[in-house]
Amino acid sequence: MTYMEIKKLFSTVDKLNELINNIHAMDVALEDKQKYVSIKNIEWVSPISILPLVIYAKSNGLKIECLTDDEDIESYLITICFPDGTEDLFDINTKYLPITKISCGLENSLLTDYEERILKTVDEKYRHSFISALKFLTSELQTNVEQHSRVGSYWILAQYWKKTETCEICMADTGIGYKESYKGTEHEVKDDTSAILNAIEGISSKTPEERGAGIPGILKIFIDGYKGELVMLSGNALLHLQDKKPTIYTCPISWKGCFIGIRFKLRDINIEKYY
Amino acid sequence: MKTINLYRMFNSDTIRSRTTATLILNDISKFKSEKIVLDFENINFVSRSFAHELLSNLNKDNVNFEFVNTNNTIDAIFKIALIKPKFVFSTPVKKKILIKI
Repeated sequence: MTYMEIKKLFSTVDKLNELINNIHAMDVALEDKQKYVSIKNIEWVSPISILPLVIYAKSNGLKIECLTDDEDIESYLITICFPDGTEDLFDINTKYLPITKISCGLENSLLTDYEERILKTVDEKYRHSFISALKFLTSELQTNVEQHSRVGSYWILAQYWKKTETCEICMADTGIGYKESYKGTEHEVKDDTSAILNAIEGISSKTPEERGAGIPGILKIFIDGYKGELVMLSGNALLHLQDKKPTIYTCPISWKGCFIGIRFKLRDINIEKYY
Repeated sequence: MKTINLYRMFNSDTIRSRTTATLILNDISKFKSEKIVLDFENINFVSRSFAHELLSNLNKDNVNFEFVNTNNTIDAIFKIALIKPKFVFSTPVKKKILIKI
């Protein structure tokens, strides 16, 4: 049996190291033809730590089990529909923010329902300015999946911590990834690192020139506006962006598609200043 | 004059997809000689991608159009839809993630 662990880590960089080690553990399990992987030492769960594991396991036919005696963690895992996620929210308590698979279909109401749930959890004093920021983020990421990934769906998981007024929102797909989406265009690149850098610079694989505004627009709102952090994983490249400083890691694993996570502290901002 | 009510057309208060814009543009192409009024009543948000797809094609096709019942958020999105934002960042630091044995 292969084990993974999710410790209570406060630094995003430490969390990313742990995440990549956990995905690598799943690769080892797959090489050994194991059907199950376990998470032990689960001390703290956040969307950035858990969503990629769920998607990676599902897309590779692995089952994840969680070994914990902590009732709070067990209860949180139930609210997020771990480990299978859900494809509709009808029967799920409206206070919960589960791991949800959403189709890119025309104006799918599932994403709007999910946004409503996120907004309900957030302190009322921040909602008015946050609603546009949130919808900007989810809409642009959904559009990227729809236009570039060559898959018809993606996964979302969000969490808001009232005590610290911090929010984490992750969206991921299992499509062709950034590097492949630039293939055959004038912006074709040789590796995943260059492809991620293309994306944050707003270089689009499509014409006209003003396309490719989604990611830079998100960065202006969440990095410049909310002073948050961004995590982006595609192929074997992992980007961590905080302030104006990107660090790009080469990983010993490969993510088929794109994973994006944003972590920020809620505050009242004039979003139009950051458009 | 041809009026298109977007809420009635898509039954959603949020419009985000480029495909949605394409459907509207297909509808508009049937009435090219008329003035087109796009009614945003009950629409609370449009994405930048939707706004870009719609606006760039309306301009390209020289459509005589008017937007009505837009809220401040929608007005702001249309204002920036054709401008590409620039996020300035420092030179990336390159590192490797190591596996703990």
